[in-house]
Amino acid sequence: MTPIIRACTAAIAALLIHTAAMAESVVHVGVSQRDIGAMDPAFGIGNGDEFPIRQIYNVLVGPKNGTSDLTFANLQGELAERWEMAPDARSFTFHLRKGVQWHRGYGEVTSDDVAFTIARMKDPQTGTAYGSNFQEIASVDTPDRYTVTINLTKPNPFFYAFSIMPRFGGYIQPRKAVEELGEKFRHNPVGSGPFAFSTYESKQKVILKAFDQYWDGRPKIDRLEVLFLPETASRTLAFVKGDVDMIEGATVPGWQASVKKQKPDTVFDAGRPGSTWALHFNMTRKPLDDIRVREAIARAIDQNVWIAAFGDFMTPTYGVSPQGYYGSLGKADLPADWPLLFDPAKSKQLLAEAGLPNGFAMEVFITEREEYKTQLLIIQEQLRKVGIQINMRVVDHTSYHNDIRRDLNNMVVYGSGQPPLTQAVLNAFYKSSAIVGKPTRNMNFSHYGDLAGNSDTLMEQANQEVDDGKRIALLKRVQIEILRQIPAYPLPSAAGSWMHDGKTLDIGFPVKAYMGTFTLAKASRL
Amino acid sequence: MTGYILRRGLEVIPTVLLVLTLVFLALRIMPGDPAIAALGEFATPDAIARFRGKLGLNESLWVQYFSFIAQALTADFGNSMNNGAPINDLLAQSLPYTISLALAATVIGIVIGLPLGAMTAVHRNGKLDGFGRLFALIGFSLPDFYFGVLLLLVFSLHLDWFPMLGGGKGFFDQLHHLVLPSITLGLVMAAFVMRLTRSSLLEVLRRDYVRTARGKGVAERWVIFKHALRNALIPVTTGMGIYLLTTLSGTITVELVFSRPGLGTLLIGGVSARDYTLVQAGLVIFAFFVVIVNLLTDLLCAAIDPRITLR
Repeated sequence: MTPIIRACTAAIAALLIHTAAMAESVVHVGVSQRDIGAMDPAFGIGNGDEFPIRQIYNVLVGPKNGTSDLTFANLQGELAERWEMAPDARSFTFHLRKGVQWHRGYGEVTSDDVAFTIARMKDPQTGTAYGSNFQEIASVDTPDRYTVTINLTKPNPFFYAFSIMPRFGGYIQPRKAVEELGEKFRHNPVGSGPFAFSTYESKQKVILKAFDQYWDGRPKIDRLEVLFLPETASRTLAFVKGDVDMIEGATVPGWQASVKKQKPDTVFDAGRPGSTWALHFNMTRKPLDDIRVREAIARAIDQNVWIAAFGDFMTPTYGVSPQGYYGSLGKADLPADWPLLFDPAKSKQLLAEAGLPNGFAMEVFITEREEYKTQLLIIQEQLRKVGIQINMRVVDHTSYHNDIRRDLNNMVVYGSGQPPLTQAVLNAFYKSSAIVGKPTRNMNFSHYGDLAGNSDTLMEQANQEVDDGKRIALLKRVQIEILRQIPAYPLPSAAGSWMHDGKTLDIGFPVKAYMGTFTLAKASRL
Repeated sequence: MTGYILRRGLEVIPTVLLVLTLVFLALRIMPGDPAIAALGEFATPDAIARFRGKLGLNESLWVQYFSFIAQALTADFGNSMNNGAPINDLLAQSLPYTISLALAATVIGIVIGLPLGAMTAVHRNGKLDGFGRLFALIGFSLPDFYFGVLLLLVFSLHLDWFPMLGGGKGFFDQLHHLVLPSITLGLVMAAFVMRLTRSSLLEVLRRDYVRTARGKGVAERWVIFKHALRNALIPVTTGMGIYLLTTLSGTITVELVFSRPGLGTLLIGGVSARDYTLVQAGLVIFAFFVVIVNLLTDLLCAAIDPRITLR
């Protein structure tokens, strides 16, 4: 071969490679996490972990794409093609799709993998991040290769919302790969989802590649790069410039408008209902032990201030859970004498009645995280107008979570991504067993249940009620019973804040709601 | 020379031990639980207890301390508490980005700061001196995270000359990614070097031997470069050594702004997750840098001025 022919061949080969690379459809997604924690669904927490996990794995069933509707009849099957609930809501049967494959040749997804996953998630030895969601599963039967029956310790028509859903530990894992890879499974995951894990570069990115044998059809995107961009400014600039096609947003007043101005094609995937936010009053502390003082605080807060600052990114909350959660309270459900309505004159009157005509001062510590700090700043400014001085002390996020669980704060601002069910919020924040300091999940910061009333029985009834109408009535009743004692003031709910470039990326379905994040299985580059 | 280096190496052992002890204690005093940070709000108390047990956090402080010292001495720092990855791998991936950034910033600092400092001293109270002082004022006043974002806005977003994110792949791409972060840090260093050089040179220019050289009719350029600047460089070198260490810590912010996967990003993540093992290892590396930079500064000073003996 002469040098000229050799050079021509090399040039043609380079051109072909270049053309192939050009044809590859790549989407870049920027998450706010500094690095991956784990891509093993047993340990991945936060949106930065959840995003790749959602693409790599499947759940049995989930809410329909772009929604967070958890009604049993409206669920969308992933690994399961049919599912049934026993009339007493104590067992659920799932019939798996046949022929669904694990990535990297780990074989077919079977009922044994489902049973293995549940046992692994529940096993205290595994010590997963979602163990509490699996506690009410008594046993799992696998009568054949494609059928799984999950038996519960007590009736719970919504058990699936806690343990087998995306975001809450419900991703099905391959027994063979988990056993074979051991600790390495954490950063070398094997799933059955639309994208298979390819590469992980510490603190930079995770690269996923389209799974050719995906049961719902090969994704149109060939490669998905999940970039770790913790700085909001840098992440936003990268999005505006077009270096990334989709990012996690920020809860900062005016931020959305500013992005939209810079990049008019931005599509805000504002998932509603969003996360649950509340200002919890530590009722063991004076003067918060006095219901008149708690009502005075509630009466001084106007939720419209959030709406004015954030636009429709925020939605007013009337009950313990955001509007749109199953069983949530709407404005029409509130009794005429509702104590949480904005009324600054009444607030001052209540303070005077409580012996605090000049108001009072109180230290509240808060995490440095923007979304938390902003909430408390808005509250601080409103309370100042009725004479209540909040002395804000900013601490780092990990210290905050540690210290609020040690009952060290006077008031706790807390935002939580619970399943969109009112019973999930009630169980997490208002059950007496969840009071801080008790050997449980420690998120009842107000001490409700030990102080100012106890609604455990009513909550448990609501959890177990099989009839939908009765269940909703119970959930509304228990919320009114609790909030009349004002252990907490529900804050407006912040919508999920993903956004994508509408000019370059089509998600494949309208994104109205999601739990943490959503799949890009149907997405395509424009 | 070898003896001197060995002796200095031995001398730093107690310092390093003290630093390690302080690092260990500081992390244990900080509020926050690595188990809660790693497992989140849906973990059972049992899982949190097991996690702590698995990481040895239930051991006595003495056991944890000696285990940490042993790890530091053998340079095997184990696995990250937060994501389970081997710390040595994480450090090996991060260090090149941080070292290259610190070195590039230092080069920029010297290349701009040294001649500018010398010229402003020579032309004291002139226009150039005014410009130099303004440059130093801006360099000292602008916070690096703000300056970094400004550079990103202008040179990356609007002009599209430089990449916005990451550390790059391959030599030239890495150099391309290094430009804006190193300018961010380097200009601050240049301001420092310029001030130091200017004041040091002004001091030297007043000395008798400079007056003598001028009296003997030596050319002004020769007086400045041969006699004055060389002597003025000793405090500048020492100052730069100290400032290089400041630059190293400055890389933390700059790495965050430019999303560079360096040691700073690693440490910030480690601190917020209370990843004790990772932060301890990272700080050991920083302490190691301090020792090396101090040693190099001493050697450089001796090279510049033969009157300084290495004893």
